[in-house]
Amino acid sequence: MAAIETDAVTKVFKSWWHRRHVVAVNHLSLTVRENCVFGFLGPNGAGKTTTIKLLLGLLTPDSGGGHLLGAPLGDRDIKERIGFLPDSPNFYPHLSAKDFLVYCARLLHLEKRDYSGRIEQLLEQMGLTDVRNRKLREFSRGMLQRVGIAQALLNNPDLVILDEPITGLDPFGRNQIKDIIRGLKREGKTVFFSSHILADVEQMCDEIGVLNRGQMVCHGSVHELLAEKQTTVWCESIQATDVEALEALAESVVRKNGRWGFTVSSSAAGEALRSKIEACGGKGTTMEGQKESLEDFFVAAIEKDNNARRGER
Amino acid sequence: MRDLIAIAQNTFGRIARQKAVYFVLMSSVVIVGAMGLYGTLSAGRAQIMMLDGALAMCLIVGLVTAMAAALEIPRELKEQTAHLILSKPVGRAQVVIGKLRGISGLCIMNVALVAVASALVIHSNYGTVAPGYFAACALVAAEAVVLAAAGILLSLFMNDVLALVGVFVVFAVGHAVHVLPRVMAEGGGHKLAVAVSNVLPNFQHLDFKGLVGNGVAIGGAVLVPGLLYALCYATALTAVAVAVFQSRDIH
Repeated sequence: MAAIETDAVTKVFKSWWHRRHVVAVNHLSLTVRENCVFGFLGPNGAGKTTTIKLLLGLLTPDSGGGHLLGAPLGDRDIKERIGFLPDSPNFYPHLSAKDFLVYCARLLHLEKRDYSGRIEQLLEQMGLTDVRNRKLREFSRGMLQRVGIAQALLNNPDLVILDEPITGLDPFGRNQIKDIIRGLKREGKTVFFSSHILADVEQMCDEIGVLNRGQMVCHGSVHELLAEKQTTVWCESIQATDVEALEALAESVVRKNGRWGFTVSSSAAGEALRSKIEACGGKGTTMEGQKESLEDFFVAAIEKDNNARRGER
Repeated sequence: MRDLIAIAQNTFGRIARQKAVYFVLMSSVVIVGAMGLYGTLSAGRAQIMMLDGALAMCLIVGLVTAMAAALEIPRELKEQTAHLILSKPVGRAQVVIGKLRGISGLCIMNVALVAVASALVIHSNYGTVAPGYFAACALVAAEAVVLAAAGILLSLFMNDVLALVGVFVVFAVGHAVHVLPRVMAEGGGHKLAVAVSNVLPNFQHLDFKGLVGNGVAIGGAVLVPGLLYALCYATALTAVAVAVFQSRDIH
């Protein structure tokens, strides 16, 4: 069973008197398997937050539908198994961190004997034990973000939906959140999160989906989507005359730590070059691939989609 | 039920800390405390002035506290705490009813605070409090609950400032609507006026300040129907608010 499944979900925002229509999400079909860390990417205004609101039943789709953990979108009971962090945590300033978590636990219908220990555990995990009785109005954005993540994990959810969880955090905070997400994955949970910090997404995610103007541009595993950009074939020993002959086949040649490196544009070209080097008597050959960064991939995917849309017009 | 109580308690705590509510409540306590000076200002009508002032203060405090209702849901939406609540297994009806309970509780508490403080001052000066004084205060609190329900409903249609103005308009119309049938005394207009005055909130059913201020006792025969009217009207407004909130998108 998929943790998240949407089928051609569409959401159109209509302005007053229906004069202007904005298609925020356009026939979005998405599947996130269980125990997967899914990164939901897209430029500002792509429809990421709208999609998350549709998943949680905060917005009603104009067409299409879907399921969360097997229950239809907006189902109330299934929310006992879901944790959610909104994108701009601006929680009740008059409450302390601990009181806020108690409030959330009561909304989750947890018993006091169950939530007391859990709250202390989460406060400690988030590094908030010392400030647990301080009012939230005195908290920095990073601290609020951590309180927000703590409340999202209160019910030990099977599915965690985080809208921009890393934004506003310092490098220590980011590492902490990354560790928590990895920990959730180890526990068999599913994590669905949106982010603009692509380097972190690349490190953490099993799968990504790129959304542009309400439509999914691409969706798949990080390894599949990020193609190898360049391949370097390293050789321990080879005749100087052979290097000159092979130079024409490579994009560049380097000499490093006594080894020769021949760089080509793809792994297939690398394999062909490796065979030729070995045929010339070259010894100790190894191949090293350099993958495209997620940032390059993301920019290329969005530009390609934008150009295609311009072409359609 | 537990989630409803949690929302009500949180709403109560948050509004109780609002500066405007806090300021009006403190001002009322100061004015009530200064009632002892009325004797030196009045030509022998100090006791009536005190009663009048006490009931007026109760009404102002009730009105201002109820007006905070118009700000509650827009603020929850703006700060995205509504998103947080609704991402938990909490129904939208619970949110609306919980909010109204919290605000109603605060309205009743604030009115009771001013009523009791005023009664103490009046009693210390004259050794007695007018009969029916507390019944009139209870009806003022009931009016504040109806206004709070109206505030929540209006805030689902308009922005917070307009909803605030709307609550005041409901207050003014509610105190004036009873004259409508009298103005349109005859013909089809009269029937329409009667119908309108029955549909719109009619605070004449809850307003006995004039009688109490003039020493007329009001008892259960006035209090119970008044409280029932307020309860029914607030329930009807809340039912409409729940229906509206359930069908609306949470942006």
